[in-house]
Amino acid sequence: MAELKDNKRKLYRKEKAETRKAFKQARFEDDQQISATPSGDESGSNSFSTTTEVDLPRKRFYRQRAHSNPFSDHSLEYPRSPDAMDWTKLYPAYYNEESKDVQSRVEIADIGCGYGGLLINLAAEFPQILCLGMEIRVQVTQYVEDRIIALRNKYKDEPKKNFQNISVLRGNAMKFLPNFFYKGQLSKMFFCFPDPHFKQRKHKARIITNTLLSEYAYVLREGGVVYTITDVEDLHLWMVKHLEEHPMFERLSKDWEKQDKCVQLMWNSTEEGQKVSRNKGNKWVACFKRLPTPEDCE
Amino acid sequence: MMKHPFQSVAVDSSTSCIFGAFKNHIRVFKVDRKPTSSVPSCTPVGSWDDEVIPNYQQTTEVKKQEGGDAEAEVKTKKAKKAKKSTTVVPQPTFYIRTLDIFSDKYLVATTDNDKSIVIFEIDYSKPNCLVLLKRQPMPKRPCSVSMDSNLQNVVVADKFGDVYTIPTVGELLQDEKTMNPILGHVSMLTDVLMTEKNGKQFILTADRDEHIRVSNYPKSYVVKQWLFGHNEYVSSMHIPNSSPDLLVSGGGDDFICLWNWYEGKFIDKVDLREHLNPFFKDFHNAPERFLTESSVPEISVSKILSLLDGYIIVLVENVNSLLVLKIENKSKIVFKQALTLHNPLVDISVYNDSSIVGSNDADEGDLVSIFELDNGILKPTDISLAGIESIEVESRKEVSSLWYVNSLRKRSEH
Repeated sequence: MAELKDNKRKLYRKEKAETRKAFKQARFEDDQQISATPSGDESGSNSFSTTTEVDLPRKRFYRQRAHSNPFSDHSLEYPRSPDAMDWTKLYPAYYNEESKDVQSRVEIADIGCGYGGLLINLAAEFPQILCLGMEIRVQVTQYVEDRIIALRNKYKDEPKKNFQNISVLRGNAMKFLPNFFYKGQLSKMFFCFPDPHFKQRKHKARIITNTLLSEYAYVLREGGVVYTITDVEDLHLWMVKHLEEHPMFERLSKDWEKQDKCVQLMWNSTEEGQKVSRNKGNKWVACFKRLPTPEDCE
Repeated sequence: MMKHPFQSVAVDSSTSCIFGAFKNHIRVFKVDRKPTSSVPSCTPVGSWDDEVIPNYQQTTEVKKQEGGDAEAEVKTKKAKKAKKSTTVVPQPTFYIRTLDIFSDKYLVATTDNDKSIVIFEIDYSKPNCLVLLKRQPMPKRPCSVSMDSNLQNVVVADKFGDVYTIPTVGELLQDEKTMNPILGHVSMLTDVLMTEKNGKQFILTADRDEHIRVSNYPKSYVVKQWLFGHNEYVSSMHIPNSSPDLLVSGGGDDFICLWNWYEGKFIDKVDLREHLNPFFKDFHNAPERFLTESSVPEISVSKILSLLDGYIIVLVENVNSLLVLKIENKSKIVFKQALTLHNPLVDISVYNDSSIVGSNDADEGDLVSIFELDNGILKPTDISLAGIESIEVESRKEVSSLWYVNSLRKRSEH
């Protein structure tokens, strides 16, 4: 029985991989274009539809264990430098013929975006701003890719909320964030329900540490915001402690949190957040502002 | 029988003293060269023998400061631990990994097994010129050290990606368990350099994930920029004395990069592979399970130094050669020469502004040789430093590991 299930899962994922290959860079503007079959050598697999129907992916086929070792040398793809990053694949609708590049830069990053719940909501909230989800787990990243492809397809006729402004990539933000983003490029960074790494010995693997915060301060512009939310109180206290200790960050007040739309989104829209709500668990939020660079520093 | 090579050498050029480390020992020799003779006299002027038992003794050292009560307790713990570890670890290896001299005043050594920083003041008026200031245990294995501009702090980079500062003088040791890093990478650090521009200090750190980071100092939480250009690990950085804005870096790549570190600009790079081809041996091949048809011998840069007029000396791991490059007009770095050697050099250090010393990995002969830059050509000198001695070992098996830079290379197993 288990084997059968496994097989089904494999087939499903293979089919989705084909769709991804074909549609990842598509703009969903012209029906003729998208109805193209994937590369002809796959003549045997007629399992995936050649129409524009791209279904929302089913999460159960993309399960992956919740932890990943951020120190290991995964065979990751990352650009040599921000200059070398090709964003046109991720935001094809923003491609500018003249500059041969996308016309705006990513400003919002969801670090460890998981299944992409927040990202989807950010798309509607900030239709003019490019948002990027980064996720270290391969299959979870693929799920979000498939989800975005399906949404772009579904809303292709919408002029604004068409999900062209969100994208996802597999990456290790703890190691390679500066390879993707220029100094001061980001205005918001989200850290939603990060891996708590309970063991003392593993604390360096946490996504918020005093040394990593210096890198976040580098990619964030002055006044940019770090959003954190977790259902683990210890981790919340840890994140608050480290952010408060870091000279480049200052905590934003509860009043500020109340009026901020992103806090609401973060509270309600992530898959982890919804799970916690279902289980009637607690959630802790803390937001921090990136302070100006000290005058005696460069 | 062979002499144990110096795994690390350093030179105090103001006094012509050569510092060498073998296993867990440091020896200092003063070189007196009479103009008429090619055989200078090498007199021992200092020595240090590390007697700390790795892994457990360091904890007692720290505890001792806290008071007598803890001591007794620790001793019993230690005894238990020692008993345990004898069954598991048969022969603890002692090892000094790096030696660096700062402003002819301080010698800083890093020890491998018990992860310590050992700081000495160099005082030639003493019978033993090495005056131990402190031995600071570190949370993780240190890999490189530097010192800030007024020599107040030793700056230590470790294998866990963190950088710590240790006050140079002052007796107080820090408890390594509560030390806080001043900056960190989520990677292995390989090198750290302190430098200055317009009266401001900066700290440069290099890691295994191709990064070179430039941070402010002492506000090291403000990153100035990254220098992107390497495709493999970076293992060595050097700022030439003559042009303090420039940085030369190398590692697991086929090339050496030239940067303006302050402006964050890549300037030029120079290929090494074509010049190293005659010198590769089995050692340079990838481990068998990673060998493919397209595999080429692997280059690992272990040290970069500069001499006068923009000449750069590059030491590549375990090749019978020294490479000479030159920075021209601060805008180009070009290949000049590959000097063929009888044996590989384990480590090199600047002797004076036109010559270097290298420590030989050879079964016989002198432990240290001097090479001189003569009209732009690097040549071995006939100066024999026969008086410089380490210890005799039975065989190569007893020699500390000399080549480890290439172990930084990332292998795609996944």
